[in-house]
Amino acid sequence: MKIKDIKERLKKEHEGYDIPDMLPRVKRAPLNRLLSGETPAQAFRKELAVRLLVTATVLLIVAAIAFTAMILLPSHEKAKPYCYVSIEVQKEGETLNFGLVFSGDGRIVLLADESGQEGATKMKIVSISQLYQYGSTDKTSVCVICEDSELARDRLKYVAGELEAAYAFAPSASLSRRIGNEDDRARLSAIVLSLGGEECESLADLVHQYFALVG
Amino acid sequence: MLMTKQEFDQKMLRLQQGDEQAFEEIYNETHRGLFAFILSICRNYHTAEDMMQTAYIRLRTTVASYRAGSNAYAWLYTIAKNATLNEIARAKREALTDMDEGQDKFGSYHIDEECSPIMALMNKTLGDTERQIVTLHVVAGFKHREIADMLSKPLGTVLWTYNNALAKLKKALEKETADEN
Repeated sequence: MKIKDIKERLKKEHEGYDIPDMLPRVKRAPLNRLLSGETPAQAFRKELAVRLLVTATVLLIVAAIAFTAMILLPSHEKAKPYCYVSIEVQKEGETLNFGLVFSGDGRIVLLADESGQEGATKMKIVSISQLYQYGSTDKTSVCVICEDSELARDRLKYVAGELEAAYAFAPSASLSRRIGNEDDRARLSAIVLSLGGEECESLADLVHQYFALVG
Repeated sequence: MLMTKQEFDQKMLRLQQGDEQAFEEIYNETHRGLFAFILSICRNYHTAEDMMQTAYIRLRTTVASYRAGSNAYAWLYTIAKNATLNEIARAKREALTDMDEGQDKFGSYHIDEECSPIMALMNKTLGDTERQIVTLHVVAGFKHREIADMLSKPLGTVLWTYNNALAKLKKALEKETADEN
């Protein structure tokens, strides 16, 4: 084979190759704006600035969302009113008073002793069964103050149930229960005032204030 | 027929001014030869495809630093050559750190021997510079002097390498034909 033939064949082989059309891809490349004469370093700085701006904006949005959520969350909880439960125990001629606060979701968030001179002090216990020494001749009354009457009944049932369980050993002990009236509200209000609180228009605010001052 | 150096130079100056049409003209008149050149270096169709894209993007990004009267062909082909050699080096480094060290990404030619027997034979028989010079002259249509400029080699070296490469190719082809018979 002559060299001329080799050259011809080589040329034909290359011509037979399907050469990809890169023009659309090259045109789409983001670096095209460099055509304006911008150096890569300038373009990079611009790109970096834009990225930083985008990142800062995203962070700002996230912070705003988090902040809004923080504001909305307590108000949502407040929508379900806190309930106050008063427990009065007549025990061998002595009267003991305790206050409980239920959060909107039904957890006991505060147990307080109201028998002392200070008005009410937070107790470092977590359950009703630890409130006091249960005696076989105790006379206990439970009263619930809550803005929502359905919740009030529910909390009253729960606390009474706990106390009944605690007094299961003493059939002669008595337990009475009721939904709080104006007198009970006045008593709670007096405690709040004695602790440095203010008069409240709503029951929910009153219970909240009690929780805030004692807890 | 290749556009002249002066024509290419004018188009590069238009491209500097942001003339999109100039880029399309440059691309249309150079891409076939450039692809063949890149293929002669990397011997892999897909890599050649990527490298051609890289070369044209780099041409656009560096056009601001192009000076009127420079050899635009040499500019473009040098960009393509450097990009391809960098890619080969990168792939080799990766192959060395890879679990499968025995396989060289660019070791297999990816050229169909049945469809392109001369190209396949070139890849087996000729060295890198020989392949580049033969491709630039035979396929891309550059003169030996232009190739010498583009590859920064003396004209005599280019001529000698070219003739020597074709002789080697002829000999290899004859041997192959004889083996087949």
